Amino acid sequence: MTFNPRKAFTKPLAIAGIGNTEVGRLPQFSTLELQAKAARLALDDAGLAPGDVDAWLCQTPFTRPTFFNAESLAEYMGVDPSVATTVAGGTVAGTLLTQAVSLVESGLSEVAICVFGESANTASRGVTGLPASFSALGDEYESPYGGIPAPIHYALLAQRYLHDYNAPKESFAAVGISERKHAAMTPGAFRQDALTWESYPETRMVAEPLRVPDCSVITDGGAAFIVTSLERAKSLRQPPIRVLGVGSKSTHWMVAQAPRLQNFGVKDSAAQALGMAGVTIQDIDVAELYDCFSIALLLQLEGLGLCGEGEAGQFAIDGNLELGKARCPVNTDGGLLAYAHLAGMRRVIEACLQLRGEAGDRQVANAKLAVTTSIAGWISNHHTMVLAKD
Amino acid sequence: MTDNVFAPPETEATAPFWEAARTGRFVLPRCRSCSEFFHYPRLFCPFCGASDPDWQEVSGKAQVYSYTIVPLRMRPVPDEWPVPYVVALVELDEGPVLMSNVVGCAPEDVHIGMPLQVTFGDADVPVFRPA
Repeated sequence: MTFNPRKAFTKPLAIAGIGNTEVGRLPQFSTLELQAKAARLALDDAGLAPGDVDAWLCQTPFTRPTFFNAESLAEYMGVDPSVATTVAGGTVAGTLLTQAVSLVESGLSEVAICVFGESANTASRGVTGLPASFSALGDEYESPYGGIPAPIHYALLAQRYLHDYNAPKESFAAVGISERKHAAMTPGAFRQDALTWESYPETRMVAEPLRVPDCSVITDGGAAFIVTSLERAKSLRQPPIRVLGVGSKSTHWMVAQAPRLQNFGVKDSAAQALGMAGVTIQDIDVAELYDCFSIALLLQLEGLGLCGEGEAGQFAIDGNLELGKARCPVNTDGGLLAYAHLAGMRRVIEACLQLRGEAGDRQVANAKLAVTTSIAGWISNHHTMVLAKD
Repeated sequence: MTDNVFAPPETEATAPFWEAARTGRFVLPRCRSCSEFFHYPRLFCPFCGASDPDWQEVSGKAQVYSYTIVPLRMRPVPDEWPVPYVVALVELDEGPVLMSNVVGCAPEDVHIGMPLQVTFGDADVPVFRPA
């Protein structure tokens, strides 16, 4: 595999506004309306008007598949920006943030907004699984085996993980239990009921060894953040959050084509982002990681270097994800397993809230440096982002 | 729904795989330049980029690289799909890894490293049974 180091940004960049809608089951709003609401929240947070944004960057929602989402959102908001770009596929937050910083750093845009919205709960009626629009290249090598659903792909990684490292069976439960505690401290989180060592084994098996609490919640909701130069951000309403580094790596699409465990793109994407920022993982105060499944979180803890290879399960069991116990708490709002599945967007937002010192009861004391990640597929494409208090 | 998820898109590069499977034969592309077998079929070798791969019958011998027992049907798996079923990543003796099902034994008997032999299922695709 090839590793491409990245140099620091040539000018200081910042996230100047953040916002996400309520989450859960929201059939009263269309996917486009959820995006518009989220955009409005981020704009209000920054103290900007829609017309102040000259780049509108959106994802293609699985639940409203359109390749013209950015144009349609800009029209809905009543603006005529220079840039309206729709990004298809996953690792949404990483892809959109990378586009935004590239546009602002190069001077092609001054203010970029990244917007996400999905009606996944309404579309799926809350049942685990994927909308048909998820179908992608290579279906013919997976559909005949009943192998398309995402939990199956991650279960294949999880089973091999247990085997390769003789990891404790409780490894996966430890992630969900920790995150549910954090969700209970987070206003608006989707699942705030307790998950315990006693209740976890009673939950429904989805694909062995993964149970329902190992899978992300399925929620409707929207999220957005605004990227601009540090200089411009300083003139706005909120304390700027610096973007110090972005890294990414795409290693495969189909799970059968994945490199062996521990050779996903996480290590390289993290090395790129941390190297660009000029920091090490030991410097990080809080980690907001893309936990679409418990196993995805464990593999990233190792790839990022927060613990050693094969040690993530015991690391989680020992309380090293938890607020009040961990050196570097992980997923302080409950993550995708409990707060909401807003792709990686909420991970970025929670990192910003922590760095602004606005995380309430779940505030990590003196949080100055955060790492956040996002994923497409089955750790197929991975993004790492390093954010800092100015 | 007009989409038949079981109908593979057959192209010049992939048709030999599907045609062989319909007659119960398991063939894979093999690079004429670097001699590697690969799955899935492509126009070019994913290892060295050489064009025009050869087609060769493979042994059908394999082992379980990983597996999961799936007790329920998740979309887009059809309503009539039998459960529980075993989805596996199968590592062929010739090298490639592919997704498949393990059949012909109790799901709870499947384990990593289990020796397998190819067989052909109702959908004319390679599946695997204990060797």
